[in-house]
Order: sequence, then C-alpha cells, then structure tokens
Amino acid sequence: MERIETTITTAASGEIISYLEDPHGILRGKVAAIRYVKIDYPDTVDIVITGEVSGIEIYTWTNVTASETVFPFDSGTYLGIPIANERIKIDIKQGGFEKSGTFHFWIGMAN
Amino acid sequence: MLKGKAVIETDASGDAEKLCATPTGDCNGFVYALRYVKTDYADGVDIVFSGSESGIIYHTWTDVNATATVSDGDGSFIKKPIANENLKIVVSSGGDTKTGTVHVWVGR
Repeated sequence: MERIETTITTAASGEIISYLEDPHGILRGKVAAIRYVKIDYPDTVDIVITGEVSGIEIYTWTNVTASETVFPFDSGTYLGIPIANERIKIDIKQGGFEKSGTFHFWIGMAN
Repeated sequence: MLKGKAVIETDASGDAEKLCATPTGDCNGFVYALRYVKTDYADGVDIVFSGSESGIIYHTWTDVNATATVSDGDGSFIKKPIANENLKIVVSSGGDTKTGTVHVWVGR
C-alpha cells in the first residue's frame, strides 16, 4: 500500500489540472481510498478524478464543502478503481482564485 | 499481519494523544481490527483513531464503557488503508490520570 499526498492550487480562473505520479515509479494497483482535505477552496469546487490516458472514472466531487474521505468497500458511492501505467488526473473547477486543497491517495493491491 | 499496542494514560483533564505503530514500524496495508481494553478509563470515554498525517478516520468509539473490538466485516467496521503514517489515538473524557490499552492489527 502506498499513500501519495498532493496539494493543488488553482489558477486565477479558479481552475487547474494536476497529475498524480508515483514518486517511486509507475502507479499500479487499485485506488483504495481518496481523501480531500479542504484548505480554502470555496464550497462551489468541483473535483473530477480520472486516469490520464484511459479516462477511467475514479471519483467526482461536485460542490464539495468540507473535507471528505471515500473508500471502495462502502456499500455507498465508491468502488476501488484499478490504475496501471498512467497518471491520475485531477481536474479542479470553480475552485476560486489561487485557492488550495490537499489530496491523499491510497493505492495498493486490494483483496 | 502485524499488531501494534499502546497503553495510554490520560492527563488531569482526562485527555491523551498517542501514536501507535507496529513493532517493526511498518504501517502499510489495511487496518483490519481495533481493540480497546479497559483498565480504569471513566465510563463515557471517547476514543478516535485516525491517520497521523492524512487525518483519515479509522474508527470512533463514543461513550464506551467496557472493553470492545471492531474488525473487518463485523458490520460496524470495514478495513481501511494505511500507508506511510502512524495511527493516532485521541482519548477524551477518560478521567483524571486513567489508563487504557489499544491493539491495532495491520496487514496486507
């Protein structure tokens, strides 16, 4: 299991696209959890997370107002998504002028 | 599977905070189970388990009065990932200078 942390700051437009890379090599496994930690993104922020090359949909937050963690094993809204040989793309919109948020990704081979 | 253990003593205000890692220091994998063993914490003690860096919440016991265990698939707990951080245990309302023990199971 690996945890990768990234803090993303928007441009003046309130938008930014960022890419998550494995500092030790290639991302490979399942996304076991994602945690969004609110710093100062406004409550209108939309966050779309996908595979950079494949476009596989990993998770989407719409108008997220507070820190939140999603897991693949909840009976609710998130299922562990496989990732291999591509970066994770994090697309921020309506995030406010030069505002920031932090993301933690847990990636590993889930049972 | 590795197991970490921490004996946690509260301060005069009934609060405590401690980091718990496995004996090898390896906290990578999933948190599969948590066990609180009551020594003399006051009834009504609150215990929160979270990631020391990420703040991910693993489990919260609110107003717990006796020894208790949660484990993956028991209906009240699901395994959650942990990597590159320790498990932080925050105790509140535990009573003045009281003690309890927690066990943490971490595996692949």
